[in-house]
Amino acid sequence: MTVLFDTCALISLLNEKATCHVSAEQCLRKLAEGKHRVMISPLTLAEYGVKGNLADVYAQPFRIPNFGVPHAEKAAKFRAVTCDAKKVERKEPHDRQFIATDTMILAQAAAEQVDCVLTNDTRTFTRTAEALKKAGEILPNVVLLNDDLLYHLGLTSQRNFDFEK
Amino acid sequence: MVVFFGVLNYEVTRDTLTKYLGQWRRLVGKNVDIKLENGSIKATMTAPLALIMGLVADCDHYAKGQTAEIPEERLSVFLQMEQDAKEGLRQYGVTCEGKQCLRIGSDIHRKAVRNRVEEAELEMEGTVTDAGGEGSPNIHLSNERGKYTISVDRHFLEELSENILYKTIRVLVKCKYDVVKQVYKDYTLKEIVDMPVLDEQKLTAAIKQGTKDWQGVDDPYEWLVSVRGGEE
Repeated sequence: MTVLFDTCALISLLNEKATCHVSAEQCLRKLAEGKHRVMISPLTLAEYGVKGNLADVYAQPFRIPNFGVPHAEKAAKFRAVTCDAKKVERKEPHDRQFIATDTMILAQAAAEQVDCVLTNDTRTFTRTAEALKKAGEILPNVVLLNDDLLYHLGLTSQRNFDFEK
Repeated sequence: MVVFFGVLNYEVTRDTLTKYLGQWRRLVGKNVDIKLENGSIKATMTAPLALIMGLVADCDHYAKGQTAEIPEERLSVFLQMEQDAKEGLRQYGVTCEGKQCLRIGSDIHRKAVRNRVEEAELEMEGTVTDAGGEGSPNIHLSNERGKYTISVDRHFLEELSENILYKTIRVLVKCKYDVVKQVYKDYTLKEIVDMPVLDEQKLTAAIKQGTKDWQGVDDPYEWLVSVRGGEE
């Protein structure tokens, strides 16, 4: 299995105080243990590097494929879809529907034949993925960094239900 | 019966007719007889059903902009007609049994894309199911997505220190990316990639440093929204 950490997931992994840090760290360990491929996009580096130390990222078992022609071609196709979707789906004038970086990260994941993209962005990233899927694009599964993450990734057979809720 | 036609806005010359016939012939192949109708710029073709069906299907694909489905030779004729139509305000068309299959004219705007391939690199993982070959050495890599034939240098196979047959390996390949069909093809091995290993000490140090760097950013999404530019 190939899993891509988006920028939110990477920051959550390396910041102990982040809300989903435990899930992200547990996930990386399980993936490494199972010798699965873990990937990040260079676009994520451009964001992580604003505050974080990129040498720490390079020291982790991530593959960082270049953003090349296949990714750019796919991104252009995806952005055409999100631009069309935006015209019909915008609810508020200032509502951010789709963000270019999300579309490009998803395009790179799709072109790299990634199986799952990890994120804790329940807003623009998941919205972008939904719009693309609706338009018939083939995308990796977008999995949220929540307590059931390992189950969703197929790394455990037990679901982590919260019975108190 | 398939009818090709052209509409010109100037006097027809012998050269123009020759060009038309040449283009139409390239659409259907050299062995099919195309007859020019007397007093018009129409030509008729009678050919085996399979050929006519193929041409009609390609006309339909072209009309819908599905250029990836059209053979290169035929697509280049359509694109040339498109160019001629734009430059000379001409119209071209193909009809089959009286029904129009395609019309190309300066008034019709299509996004026609020529098939093209670009160089790309891809990392793949899979089980080696075969390795060798006399003329063109290759390895067969099999994974959940399918089976891939990857060309390798003969020396690569000769100099392998361990048997890779039936073992799972990760490779970096050079390949071609078909831009229109959005598929990879023609894989050539660049290198075998080591399986990355998680270094506990490095992860712990990175989390320590990261926690310091990202102090105050408990919700990465909120921070990202603030640094990212506007929406699309």
